[in-house]
Amino acid sequence: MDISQLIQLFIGHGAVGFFFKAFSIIFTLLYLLFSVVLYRQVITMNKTLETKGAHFLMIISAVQIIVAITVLFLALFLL
Amino acid sequence: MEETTQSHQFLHSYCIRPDVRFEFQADNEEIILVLRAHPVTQIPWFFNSVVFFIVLILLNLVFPTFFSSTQIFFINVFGFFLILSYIWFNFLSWFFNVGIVTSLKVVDIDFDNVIYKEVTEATLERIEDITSKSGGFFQSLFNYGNLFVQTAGTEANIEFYNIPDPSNVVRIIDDLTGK
Repeated sequence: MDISQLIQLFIGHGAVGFFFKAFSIIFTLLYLLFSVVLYRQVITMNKTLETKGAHFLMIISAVQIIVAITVLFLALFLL
Repeated sequence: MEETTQSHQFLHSYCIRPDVRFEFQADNEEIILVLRAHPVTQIPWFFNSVVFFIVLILLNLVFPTFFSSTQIFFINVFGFFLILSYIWFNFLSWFFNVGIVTSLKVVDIDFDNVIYKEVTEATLERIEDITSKSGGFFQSLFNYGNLFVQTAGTEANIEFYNIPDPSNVVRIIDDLTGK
């Protein structure tokens, strides 16, 4: 993807579309950051208190990261 | 002690001899009680989640005026997962904020806002005084309250908030300390 395609990706849908896309990308990036921090923290919490459901908690947290990446791609390429 | 068998009461907020371990547990140490906040105290965030879902659904009536169909789709997907994350965050906050009573000590594990970790321990022989406080409409109705464990010397005092049946926990700790 060259720079002109990148610009077209943003301004292709007018001013409202541009701001919507820009804010969507910012918020999904923050959401991704939040998901990664939460995943790291679940590892710490599982070490602090070992329960039988530890694997289940880790799976949910990993799924959250996958969801965050998916939503980020939606914001980048669908909008 | 009368509670010798494993049991989980109040939706796992009052667990007797549960099958868990904690980070600083000694080999000869046995977990007697694991306490979490009473489920009733978790109703506000659960209620908020339901309200957020309703708001998201209602907003779909307004969205077509301002946004295109792909933007509406994105808002719904992102909004849906944000609400699920809110539920997950609050669940983790409840699940890992525990008070533990073992055969050797009392441990308070706190994760403030999930990201700040604080573990406080007090050995049973250092416990000076235990106070349970329960008052107000909901605490009386659902039998939950706060427990304060005062320790001797420079050891930190321990506080368990909104735990089920606090007076029974006092009795169990008293039995363990031999008071």
